[in-house]
Amino acid sequence: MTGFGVWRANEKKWSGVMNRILYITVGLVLLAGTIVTGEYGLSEVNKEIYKLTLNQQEKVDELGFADFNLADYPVAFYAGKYDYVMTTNGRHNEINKRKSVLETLAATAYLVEDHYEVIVPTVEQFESLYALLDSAQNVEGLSEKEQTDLETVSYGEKEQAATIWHEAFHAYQLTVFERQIKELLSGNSFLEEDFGEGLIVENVDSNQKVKDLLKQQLKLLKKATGITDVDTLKETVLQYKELEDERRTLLSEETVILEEYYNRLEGSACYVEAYVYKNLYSEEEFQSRYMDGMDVYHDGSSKYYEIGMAQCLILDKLDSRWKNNYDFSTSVMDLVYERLGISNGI
Amino acid sequence: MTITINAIKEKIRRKELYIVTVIGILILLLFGTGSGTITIGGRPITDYESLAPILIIIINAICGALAIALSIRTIPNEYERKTSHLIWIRGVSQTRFHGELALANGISSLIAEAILYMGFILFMFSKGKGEEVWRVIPAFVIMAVSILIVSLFTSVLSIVLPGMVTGVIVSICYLAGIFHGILELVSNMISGVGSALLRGVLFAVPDLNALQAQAGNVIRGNSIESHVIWKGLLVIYIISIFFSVFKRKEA
Repeated sequence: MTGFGVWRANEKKWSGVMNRILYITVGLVLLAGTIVTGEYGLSEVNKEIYKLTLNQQEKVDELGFADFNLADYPVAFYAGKYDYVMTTNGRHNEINKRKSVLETLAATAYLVEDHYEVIVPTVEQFESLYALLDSAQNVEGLSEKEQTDLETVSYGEKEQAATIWHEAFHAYQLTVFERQIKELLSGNSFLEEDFGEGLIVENVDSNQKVKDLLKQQLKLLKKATGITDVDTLKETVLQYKELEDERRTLLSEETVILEEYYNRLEGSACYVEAYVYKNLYSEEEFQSRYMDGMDVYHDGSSKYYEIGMAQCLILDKLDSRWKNNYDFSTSVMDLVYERLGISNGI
Repeated sequence: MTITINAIKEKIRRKELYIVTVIGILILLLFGTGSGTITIGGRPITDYESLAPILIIIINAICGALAIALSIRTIPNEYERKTSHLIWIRGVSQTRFHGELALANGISSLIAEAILYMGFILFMFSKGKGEEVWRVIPAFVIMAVSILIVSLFTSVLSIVLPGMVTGVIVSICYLAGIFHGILELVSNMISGVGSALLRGVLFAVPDLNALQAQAGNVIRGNSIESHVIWKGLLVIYIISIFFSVFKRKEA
């Protein structure tokens, strides 16, 4: 081979090596760019939400539920494959990553080993869910009224904080008042077996007479939450009770137990949630989100959240210190009747 | 680049790109001139703010489908016509041959995208949004990443799989890619084997929906997530590695 030939061969070889180096370099740059720009672990917005939620403790203390502290219950943010569990010692917040225990999108209080934890999806997951519901409803086609309703259920940081308080209250109920809740359920296992929702649909929503009575009761409850005069309130509550007594004669024993369970546990949790929401937003926003639609009948168990909350708000008018020693063994409405001097014999 | 240029010239000869132009003009006529409308909840959507994001989604979906159509037959055709042998005797490696043909597919797909985006630009002018037309350029570049992913993935599979199988796999992956966000949410809502399976698919399929969202953000003047674009470019790079891995036996 001539000198020129060797030079050409070397040049070709080096050119091949240089191309490979260039190709690998491009790959490394892209990999580095992807890693550097990525967000890992729990996003800052969720950490801020946890702080915001904790900051509401003083306000929630004003409600008066004895020994109810958010810091007692770890808050796990479900981010798909993993949970990011946040705890606090009062001064520092800690995050621990673990494989998700629930593996599904839900906001709940959940027994993890020997204690209850709050599990909520990250706010990003909630936002995606609402965006999906939004587009799904758009595709299906909504009336103007329905579209307005959808706008009011948009979800952000403050809504997430209120949801955490709702679930933390369940963790509190299940931890501190386990015995009373078991007694309330009287051995019924419909909740463990997830029959609750079906039972309400079957025995309440599908029974027109029961439904009509409950619709009237919802209107009375909403009216009662706006009354300041005790005599007028008593009159309204009496009308409510008459309807309730009549309605209960149409229901099975287990349905009555289930309704009472939802009213007491979900209603009071919703009451705490709404209280936090009001503090984070305003009285007007609270009215719009929780009160304005209170008299609207919803199928399934969700109506009892509002019914139970309304009962708590009515009891507040008569005795704001009822929460100091409330242990969920008594119906909130029974306490209302008692404070108003209404006999509770059916 | 000779192979690439010849492959593009052939696509022009076979009128594939003309068909794309016709589709672009049809879309413009349908939505841009008022002779066609999109309705949501029974109400016609004609204002720019509502129509633009929908139009972008439609254009992007068509671009992806065209990228598959333009890329699926190029490499198999060369082998069927035995023109590949003419290349081998000139000492061109399979990697380079496939790579250049895939590049031709990618460029053709981008030309198709450009034609459809030209339609969108005319739509913007027709709605009096001429001053915002510059935003289409970065949106085009971002969507080009998505189009190239689809085109290169189709090309690489077409080296080793029959056309029908390639078409089915790419179409499924493409749908999973553009509905990535929704599927991710669904995978988090369900549990068990279904969830694990869906997560596996979502891990393997690039998030084309996120890329599309960034293009939409640019059009609307919102900020973009650079991570999504970096990830898209990395996916293109990873696909390109397979051109040196996948070989045809006929060669």
